[in-house]
Amino acid sequence: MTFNYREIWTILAKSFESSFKWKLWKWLLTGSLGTLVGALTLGEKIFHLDPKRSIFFAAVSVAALFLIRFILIFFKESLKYFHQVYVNSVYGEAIIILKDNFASTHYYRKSPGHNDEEFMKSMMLFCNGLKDIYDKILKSQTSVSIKVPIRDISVSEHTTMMNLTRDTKHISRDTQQYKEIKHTIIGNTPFSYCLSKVVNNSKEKAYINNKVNETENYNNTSRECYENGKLPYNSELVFPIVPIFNETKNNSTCHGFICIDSVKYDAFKSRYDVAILEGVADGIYDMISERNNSINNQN
Amino acid sequence: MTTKELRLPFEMTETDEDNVVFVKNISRSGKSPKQIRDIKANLPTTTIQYFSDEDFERLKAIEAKLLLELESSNPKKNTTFLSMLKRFLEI
Repeated sequence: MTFNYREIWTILAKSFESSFKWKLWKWLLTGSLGTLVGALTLGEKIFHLDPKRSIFFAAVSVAALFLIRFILIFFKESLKYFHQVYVNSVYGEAIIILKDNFASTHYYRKSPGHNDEEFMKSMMLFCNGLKDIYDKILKSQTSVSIKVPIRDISVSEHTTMMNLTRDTKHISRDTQQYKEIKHTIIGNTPFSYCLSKVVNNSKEKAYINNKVNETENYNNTSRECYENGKLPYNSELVFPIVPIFNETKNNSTCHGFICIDSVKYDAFKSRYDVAILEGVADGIYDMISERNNSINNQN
Repeated sequence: MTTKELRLPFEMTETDEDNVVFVKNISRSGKSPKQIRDIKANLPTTTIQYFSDEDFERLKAIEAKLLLELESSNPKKNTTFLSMLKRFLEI
């Protein structure tokens, strides 16, 4: 990051100007003559100083007040500026990562037929890209996975969800034990919550839990894989893979869920956290639909 | 450790080899089967499209192949003292 001297100079000038915009100055400097004389001779009346010293100390006090106010305003304005720079850099970075991810999606959609290698590359890119984005936003380690429904012997609410892919840093979570568990919709609070939101055509479809290990009535079939049933994360954000705009109001299609978790407590609080995921879910929905259509056309 | 299964606010309305369709769960008390059918017919539905086992296994095999490629194409991290110090200090 380069140091923007011009911006710092602007903040200095703005702080200097703002330091004068104080009711006290108006009261002291542009008020009545009596107020000014009273302020200048305060030292003489209270501390029994001679008039010259009283005026001197009064002037020094006024200058000190100005300086304190100037420093505080400068500090506040600088914090605002650096916060803005930080926010812009984090979300700016997110835009760049998502641009690359969506370029891969568009390439897949524009290519005739379906290429499973390109499809999986895009899915992995999305997971790794989202991980980079949320690592930066949350300033903590996050894990991203895409879960899709798999046909099971017993269909219905017991539909099994499996990991299509994960971010490459957390592939080790897919242990043999994890793979053998039936991750049903009904057995996982985030999935059943999101699906009920989709079925009810709700506007807000995200499941957010910022204290997963302390939440009562929170079901998660992955608990079995961890010691004492304690999940390796504390916050979780799950979004269904559905389109943002649905053509048919009466029937929607859900292709699965995108899950993001973080070791941090109270991680998912910003409205941007859900918005980013919503956009990505829309893109992934298109890709899976395109692939399904292509397979159906082939058959 | 076992997890409890909860009663869901939606239920399955139809299913075939590739899809399962869900509809909002409605209260059945005081309603005839015909009334329930009529209400359900007008409710919005959600379809979940399955990946078949074979399809899923094929995609997982592609994922494994891509992961190997990714691993071999990633340049090894610089291990000079200065780069390690920079990584440690996160500067």
